[in-house]
Amino acid sequence: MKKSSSIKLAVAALSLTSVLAAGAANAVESSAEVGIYFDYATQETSATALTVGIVQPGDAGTIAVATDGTVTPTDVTMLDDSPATQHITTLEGMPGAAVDVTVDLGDADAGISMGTPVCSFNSTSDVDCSSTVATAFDSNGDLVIDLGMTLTLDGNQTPATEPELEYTIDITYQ
Amino acid sequence: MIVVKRLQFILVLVVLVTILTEIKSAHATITITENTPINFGTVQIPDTGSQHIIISPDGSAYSGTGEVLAGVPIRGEFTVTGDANAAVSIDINNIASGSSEVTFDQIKIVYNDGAVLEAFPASVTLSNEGSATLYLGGRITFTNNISVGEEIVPSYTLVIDYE
Repeated sequence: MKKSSSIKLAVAALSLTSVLAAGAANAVESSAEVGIYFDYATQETSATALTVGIVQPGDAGTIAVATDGTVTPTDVTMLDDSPATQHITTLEGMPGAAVDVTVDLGDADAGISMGTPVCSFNSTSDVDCSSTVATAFDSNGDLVIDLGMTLTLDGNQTPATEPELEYTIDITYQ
Repeated sequence: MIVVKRLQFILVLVVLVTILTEIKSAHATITITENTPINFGTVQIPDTGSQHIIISPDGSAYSGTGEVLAGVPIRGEFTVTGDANAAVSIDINNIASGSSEVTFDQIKIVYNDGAVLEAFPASVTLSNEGSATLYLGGRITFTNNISVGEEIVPSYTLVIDYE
């Protein structure tokens, strides 16, 4: 009877030893995922430029071009066959992604100066976009930027030419 | 009878000594905590061919031929704990790209912002407090055949063991 107990004790002890030895050798693993998302760059699908239209020669005044396309001339006679238009850019990008929009004004032809650029994103309220402003693509990945401004004419614009306005609109993901 | 009893006593004694030796040499359980997953941000699908982006484990700016559209690529960070001053092996297993159009490789680890580990398994020594901070970088290569919105999740397994 005593012999049997001793053998059982020995077997139990050996088993415990094996468990301890096995436990000490167990490696620890940590599974991890790599975060990455793929998308195309912002793509401009259409764009129409902001234009002055045709103005009666020698007129001095202002032409306010609103983001919704409303044109309000002051002291300037505009010819009906070529009205001023707002700038419209249509973009495709990541749905819901936030972007920064920056409008940089360049040169305008002689006799014309550009005022503060005003932007409307996806037909929302106008915002001053003379400095970088934040907006976002909608849930479908669309973003429409309407750009308007007030143009000032001093009467010295070059006759019989279509005035050119230089500006750039930069869109970058945040 | 006396001989048998002595043999039994010796056997039990040997076993007990073995148990005590194992208990004395048993290691504290190793723990791995992923503090920050490695993240490449939103990457632009190339127009043609393939491009790559490399995240360095030393925390420097990302590099490569690819372009990140949004987010800032960031290295992974892990904390490992175990016995003080213990030598442990570090291995990277089960590397999966998640797509035939993606490759995740060139995994490197910086140990406690010091030595760069490029070949695995590698050996490091835990600190006096029994810990180590591992920073993980790697290269992701991708082709123009990826579709927008396609869920691609590369993965890997970090394995730590006492040496």
